[in-house]
Amino acid sequence: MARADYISIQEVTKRFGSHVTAVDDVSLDIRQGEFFSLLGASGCGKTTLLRLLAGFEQPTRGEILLDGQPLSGVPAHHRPTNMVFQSYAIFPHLNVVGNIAYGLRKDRLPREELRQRVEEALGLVKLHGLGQRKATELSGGQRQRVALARALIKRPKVLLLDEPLSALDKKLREDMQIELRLLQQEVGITFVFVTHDQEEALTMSDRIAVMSGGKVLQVASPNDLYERPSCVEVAGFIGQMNFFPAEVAEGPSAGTLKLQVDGVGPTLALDGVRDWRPGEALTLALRPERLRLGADAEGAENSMRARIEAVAYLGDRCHVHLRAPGLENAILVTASSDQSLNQGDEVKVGWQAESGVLLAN
Amino acid sequence: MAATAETRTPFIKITPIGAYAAFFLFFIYAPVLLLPLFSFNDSQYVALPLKGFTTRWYVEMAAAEQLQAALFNSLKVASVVSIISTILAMLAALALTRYRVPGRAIISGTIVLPLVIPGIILGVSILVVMVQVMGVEPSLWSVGAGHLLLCTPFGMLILISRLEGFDRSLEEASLDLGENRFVTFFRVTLPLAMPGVIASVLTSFTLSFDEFILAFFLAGADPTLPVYIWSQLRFPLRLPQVLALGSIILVVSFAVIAFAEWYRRRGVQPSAKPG
Repeated sequence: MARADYISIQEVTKRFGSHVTAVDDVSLDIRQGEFFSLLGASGCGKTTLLRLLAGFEQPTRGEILLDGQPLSGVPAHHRPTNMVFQSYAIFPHLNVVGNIAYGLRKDRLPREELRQRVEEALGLVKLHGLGQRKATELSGGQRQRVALARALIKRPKVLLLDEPLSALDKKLREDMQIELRLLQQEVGITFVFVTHDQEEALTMSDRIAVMSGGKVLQVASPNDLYERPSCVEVAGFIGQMNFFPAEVAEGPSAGTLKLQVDGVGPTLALDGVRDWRPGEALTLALRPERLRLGADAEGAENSMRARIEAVAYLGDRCHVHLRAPGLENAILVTASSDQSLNQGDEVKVGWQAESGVLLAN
Repeated sequence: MAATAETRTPFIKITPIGAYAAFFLFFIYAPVLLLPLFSFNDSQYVALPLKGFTTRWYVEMAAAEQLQAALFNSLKVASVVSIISTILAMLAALALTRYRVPGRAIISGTIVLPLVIPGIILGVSILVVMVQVMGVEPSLWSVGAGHLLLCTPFGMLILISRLEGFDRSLEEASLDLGENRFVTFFRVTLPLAMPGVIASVLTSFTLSFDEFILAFFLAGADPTLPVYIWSQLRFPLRLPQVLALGSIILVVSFAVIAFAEWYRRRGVQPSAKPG
């Protein structure tokens, strides 16, 4: 029975001093067994929220419940949560086994069970045979595995991860993303993962909370976040997006809306989740891969003409930057690289009504 | 001849900076090295030329009871002071680096203050307060108390720099893994601060062991070694014994400092890289 509100963060605010509000009235529920990411630029409050969960900080206002139990007043060393630190915080004076077994000493396990648990944890993170290695002799990737094993051996209800992959190089990071995701599914523990890397969050998470300025902007699955961002900020943060200022010209009728887009003209869009009234100003957002160029754009419900400013070849595809008279920003289109596109050409840019995402200003 | 001399690289090339360095080392260490030299010299008088080799002064020293009593007084005070001052220094350093203490600057300033008060003023004022106000006779205890005042700030400065030097998340990791602050101190903080603790103990020991002014005012009937040596300077015949003792202290100090430095360097490496 997976609880939908296994972790329930209720109207939590955290202030440092009288001026800095790191977390601003955040409410969100995290499901049991879920891989949940807190995503945002540095200083958005995601790490503070994680530290509130771990018990290193106390909320100024609000309450956090874990499995129905309020956490306020429970010190870090009594919480059923464990953390993987950004710096990994491997104890330099202990070897690998000493680090991994650190949290088990107070449980006073029989020697044989202790040995078994450590062996099991070493296996879980694929560090077999490295138990006697000194902490100072480990590579970055190995340190991260020790930090994971040290936290998981406590069998926490929730594992908190503070940007654990940011110190690794690109290749290792991508491998670890998959491995961490598989590990989470294997142990079935709820993971709360803090990251500033939107690609990482999209790859690994069941759900993502996008944060900015201490507030949660949107909580959604990776797919929903990408396809149906709730505001301009989320749309701009997740992947790439073209934004067009627009106004509702007519509608809605049969789920379709007529827009008057600045510099483009009348276009069609789907109504979306919200009722729009004629005359209302909004932003039309279009993903680069949803735009078609030249012959591909024939028959599209909406179209405009633009001049190719630059083409960036990326192997399997290319990024095309276009300029249109009357549009302030360049338009970015992802096209297949076998299309012949030359700098300076004027081409047709087309898209379907369903491709547009309508965002309130 | 001149040509061959020029083409050959001399073993030591004399440059102005090299000469300066040589003089510098000579003035610092030559007087100190004369101490062991004269301690083996077969003459009552500390003067050149050397007369011959003897171990007589070492034998006499071993028989001099007052001298030994003074040495043990100094060792007693220095041992106790070095341990107590390091404990106090650790508590102060923890409070100042790990907690948000109100008036932090004032507190650390007050602790460090004895370092800048002239020893003679400190000595006189402690003596006055002790004898006139509290009615306590000077003893080794009062010397110890005075030395505590002097050694604690040194220990605190050493330990603060050590405690600030390592990743705070190590202590958080210990809390996170279920140990409370008290156990965390003994399992994480203390082992990582150990080079600083050793340095603090050794520094305090050395400071106390050869401190003269406070001990002179506060020792009463139980002189510490520096006070005893000073009093013996009036008797030229006993000077060679003092030289013998001085030589032994020199060798022991050198060994202790070399060990401490080796230990410190060994301890620096593990916590140097955070990620």
